Amino acid sequence: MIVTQKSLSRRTVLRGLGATVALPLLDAMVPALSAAARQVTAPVPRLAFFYVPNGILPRSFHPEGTGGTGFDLTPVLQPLAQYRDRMTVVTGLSNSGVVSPNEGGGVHTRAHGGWLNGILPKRTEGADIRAGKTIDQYAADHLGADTALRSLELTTESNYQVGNCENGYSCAYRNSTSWLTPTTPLPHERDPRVVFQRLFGDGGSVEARLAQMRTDRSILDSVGESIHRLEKKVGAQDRATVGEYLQSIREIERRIQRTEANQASTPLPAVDQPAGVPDDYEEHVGLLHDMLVLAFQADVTRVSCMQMARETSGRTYPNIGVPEAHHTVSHHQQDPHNITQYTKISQYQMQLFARLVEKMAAAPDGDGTLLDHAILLHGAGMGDGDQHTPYNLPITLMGGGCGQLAGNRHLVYDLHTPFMNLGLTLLEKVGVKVDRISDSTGPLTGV
Amino acid sequence: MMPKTCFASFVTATLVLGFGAADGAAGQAQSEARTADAAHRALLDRYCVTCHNERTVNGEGRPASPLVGQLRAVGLTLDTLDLADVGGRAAEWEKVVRKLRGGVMPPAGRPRPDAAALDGFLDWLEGELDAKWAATRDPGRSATFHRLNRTEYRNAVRDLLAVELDADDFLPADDSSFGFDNIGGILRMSQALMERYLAAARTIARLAVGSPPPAMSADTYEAAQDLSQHARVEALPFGTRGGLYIEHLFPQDAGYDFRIQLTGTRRLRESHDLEVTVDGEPVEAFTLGPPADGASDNPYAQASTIDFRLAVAAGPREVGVTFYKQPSALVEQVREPFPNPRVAGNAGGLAGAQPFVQSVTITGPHDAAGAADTPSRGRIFSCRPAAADDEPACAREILSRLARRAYRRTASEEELAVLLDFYDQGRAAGGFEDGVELAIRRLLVSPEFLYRIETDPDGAAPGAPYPVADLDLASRLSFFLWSSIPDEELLAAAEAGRLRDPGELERQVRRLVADPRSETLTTNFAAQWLQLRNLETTVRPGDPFSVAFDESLRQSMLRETRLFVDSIVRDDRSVVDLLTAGYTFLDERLAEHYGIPGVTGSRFRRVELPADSPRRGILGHGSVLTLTSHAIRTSPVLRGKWILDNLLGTPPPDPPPNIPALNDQRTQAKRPTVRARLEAHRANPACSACHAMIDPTGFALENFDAIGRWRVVDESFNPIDPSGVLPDGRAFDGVAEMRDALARDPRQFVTTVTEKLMTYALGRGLEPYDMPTLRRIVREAAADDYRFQSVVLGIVTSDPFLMRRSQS
Repeated sequence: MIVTQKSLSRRTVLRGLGATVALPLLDAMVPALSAAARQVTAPVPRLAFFYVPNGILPRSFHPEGTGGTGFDLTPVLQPLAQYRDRMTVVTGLSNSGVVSPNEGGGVHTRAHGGWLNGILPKRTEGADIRAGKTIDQYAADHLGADTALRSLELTTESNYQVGNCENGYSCAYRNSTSWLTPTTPLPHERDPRVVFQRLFGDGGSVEARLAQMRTDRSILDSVGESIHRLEKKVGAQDRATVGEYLQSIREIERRIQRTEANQASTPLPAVDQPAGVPDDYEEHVGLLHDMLVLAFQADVTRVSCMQMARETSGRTYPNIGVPEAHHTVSHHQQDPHNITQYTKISQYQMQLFARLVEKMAAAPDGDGTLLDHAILLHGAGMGDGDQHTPYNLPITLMGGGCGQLAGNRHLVYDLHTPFMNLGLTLLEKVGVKVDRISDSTGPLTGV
Repeated sequence: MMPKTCFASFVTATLVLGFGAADGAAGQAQSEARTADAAHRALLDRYCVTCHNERTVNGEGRPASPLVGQLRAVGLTLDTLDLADVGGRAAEWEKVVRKLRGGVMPPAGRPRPDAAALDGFLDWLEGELDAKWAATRDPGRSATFHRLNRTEYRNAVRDLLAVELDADDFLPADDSSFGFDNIGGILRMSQALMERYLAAARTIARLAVGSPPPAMSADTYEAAQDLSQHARVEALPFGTRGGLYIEHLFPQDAGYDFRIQLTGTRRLRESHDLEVTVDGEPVEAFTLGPPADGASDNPYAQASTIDFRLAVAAGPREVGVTFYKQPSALVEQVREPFPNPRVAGNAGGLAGAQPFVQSVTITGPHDAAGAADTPSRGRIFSCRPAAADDEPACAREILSRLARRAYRRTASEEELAVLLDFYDQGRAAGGFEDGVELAIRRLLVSPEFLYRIETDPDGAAPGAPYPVADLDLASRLSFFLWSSIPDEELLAAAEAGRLRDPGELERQVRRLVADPRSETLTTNFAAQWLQLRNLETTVRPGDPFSVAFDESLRQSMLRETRLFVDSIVRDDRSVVDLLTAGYTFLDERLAEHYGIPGVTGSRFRRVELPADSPRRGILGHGSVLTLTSHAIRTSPVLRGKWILDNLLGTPPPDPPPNIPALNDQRTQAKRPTVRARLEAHRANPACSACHAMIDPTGFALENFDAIGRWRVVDESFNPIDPSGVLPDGRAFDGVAEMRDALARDPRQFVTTVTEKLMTYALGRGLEPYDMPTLRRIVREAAADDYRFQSVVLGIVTSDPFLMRRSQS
């Protein structure tokens, strides 16, 4: 018996009008979208989170001084210099809720699994995984009510790798930054083509796509009935699984209704789609960012959460002169070489984020630009990667949030002010009132 | 010296004495038991309790040291556990068994009991645990709803509809737990996933029935950036050079536009013949370079793209685009000792440049004329209605047959009615085939297809073991051995109630393993267990290794290990051969990489290895050695941890926070060896407790560089010292001795393989109550020389596989 691995070639698929696509994709698509642009009466806020792994060296990130407008940009913030008037840098916040002195290893899992919920993830690999509902999903409860998609979860990494999850923790804690409920991690998509199809459908004419959606709806109705029949056969313990299934079906049905209802004001754009996951990291990040800009601009969703790379990432960056693994150099031990390399990676990831900011600034939205209306939070689950502690997190906010964020500010809080307080604050700014998330004590003053 | 952080708290053991004065034989037995208990207690107190005690583990406040922190995380208090009730605290005692059987406790440098005393204690402890389990025979409770993961879904679609597609095209990879991505409760459902299932069902149903696609598509296949184009490409004919082999699904009988992108065609001095084949038959040929007769005008002389349209019949086809190998190409190989994968740097020379295939794009269909005859249509349309009146009966026949395979049991009338309802809708909107297509679309998102559903029988007592339904057992078998749905023979045996007849399970296991579909034991199970998946996707060696590593080598490395594991499975060899077998599978590229002479050509063949060969077993495989290295250097820690995790089943705890990593600084100056740096690291007692067990096996592999080449000096020209001491005190010098030491008493290795295989087979993590079963399977397999299939049979005939615990 021979085990063959015949397909050695990389395959990309294009479907659509001419089955061709000209990159950069965004440029090609913006005219099509603008023609279809939704007639915005009042600007709507958008909220997105961007996670970077392994922390950021504090002195390469946090500006000196006690806050205010006159701060000097640090090396990692430098790539955002052009958008200083849209920048809010936050110092002093901590996610103390994820600290577990007696649990030993697993610091990466806890820092990431609890990043947007402040909750210590339950140490388990079994079906009883549990963390907390994340800030973005609180926002989606409200901001997602009128859009086709509640929220959009993105990543640059595949779940396919093995052996990288910390002892005793399911990989779900590493794979998902966003959690719909304490027991439902949301899958993050890495293929730009799939993201495109989620946003705009799969090829064919607009009429054909709508017809497909109607068929899908009748299939979903029928599947829902099958599940109800099954529900009767199983015990209480298994009802949660059934509930999860039904919930996903309801979300899709709702989404189809929204798409049909909005069809008059937001026609599906007749554009081509990207070709899959590029080999090149930078290109990959760029395409996912393009998808996000498109999603916001077409108002398919208003909430997003993206992993720029996955926690504990061992990715190497030879293109910027870092052949060492990110995780390895983050254990810098104050070694000057490691510190240089560690900072280079953080700076590079910020540079890629800055390109997204640039795209948002160039995207018209109602009476202004997407950047005027959005709040983008860039940050990590740890402060200094060498310490592995969730203290003094490196947090950068970009965007105007529909007049809610002034920009050009460095905010300094007492060390160990709960990061979740910022969560409450941001939710407030996008019109969502939540009393408490994990260890939060109330919205921050001065944001 | 004892680490300061471990308190010397020799807690006096409190024996729980029996009550009342017994007399006669019973009294004597009791007193013997008491003596034995006292001996066991004394052993624990002497060798374990120094660290694993109540005061250290459950102390107040911040841990006094990282070691105390680690002890708290482990949570074992052996001074307070009652030896008279081992079964009552099975979880803790199973941890003890694991660490002691694995030889990793007590830690190196600490006093150890002699082997006889240790074995005696372990035999007694395991006996107690096994006896306790025998009283309840808890088989565990697998998930009621077990979603098919991506691999299983793909295989199920293949077996159901004869449609083969790239898995990545339609579903995301799944979350994993316990090292595998088929764990029941972890496979969740979400809106995003359900949308993918809907889209996949739409595409698959269309391709299967052969109806026209909604739009044309252009599929571009690129040659990997770093795949050698000088040698024959896998699956293309011998005597060819480079090119692309493509498995493409042509949706319709139609015309398809082919575009071949070429590079290196500018300065050709010789003519080069490019051939296009479909299913091995030549369909087009082009000559590049100067025409042979020197006169006629050749439009392809310097062409960088070649466009043509071909009529192709619907169905999966193998497309080859490749060059005939020139005699001068042999010279090319000599001239470039290291084959440059692409045209860069290959612009001149005696024979001039060589052309290369860069990509092939297939766009279509044009002028589609339906799909007359494809494997999928053959599979689906078991009847063809001659007249409209025959249609309902034919639709019913088709759908009840498909539903039976898809749902792994005969569909109920109610379930069939659902499908027929969609058939009617599709029939009304189009024709007979549209009806069947819509019904298949519905079938592919049915919970009965997407989930393996195991429900308790009516009236089952709560929390009691019961035999799983025969049809569920059939699915357990096929998903274990094929990662796919059962075939008709297995279903029929289950439906007839024959599955549990004497010998029948063994017959079915042997039959399933003999079937080609069991290659998933290699491509799915072993790829996860040995972490080969990471080499398939993410591992990318950096400088100075990247020059010697390319796609061809990556593929050859993966192929070696796949062929090797497959030979163990199919030839039913001993599991221990995975460590020690005297053969492997090599092609020329890999043999050169290993420095093994006498292997020429790109054909993989079995190569015998001498007894002292460092290449024996998986520890000598380039795949394993590369995926356990950093991009820029070897890592004895990663390799040692890989061995502890995957071969010895004693994963070390994750490092505590704030432990410094090795200094990886790259400078031109001579650096100390990795060993010296690790030894410095281990001087810290907080580190040494774990690193003394992690590092030594990694040191033994230091003769292999970060991409698995043999070496005697490291990157800084320090001589390699591959000697070390296993945690249990046995010394070795080099990989061969370390490997043989691991294999001398193979029980621990076989137990680990079995544990991994059982986790994968059951789709759940193993619990303390599964350990007695695990031990029994290994004991029984020992009698059959630990043959792979006897381990599989042991699992399949065990309580956890055959039974399930009802809801409590």
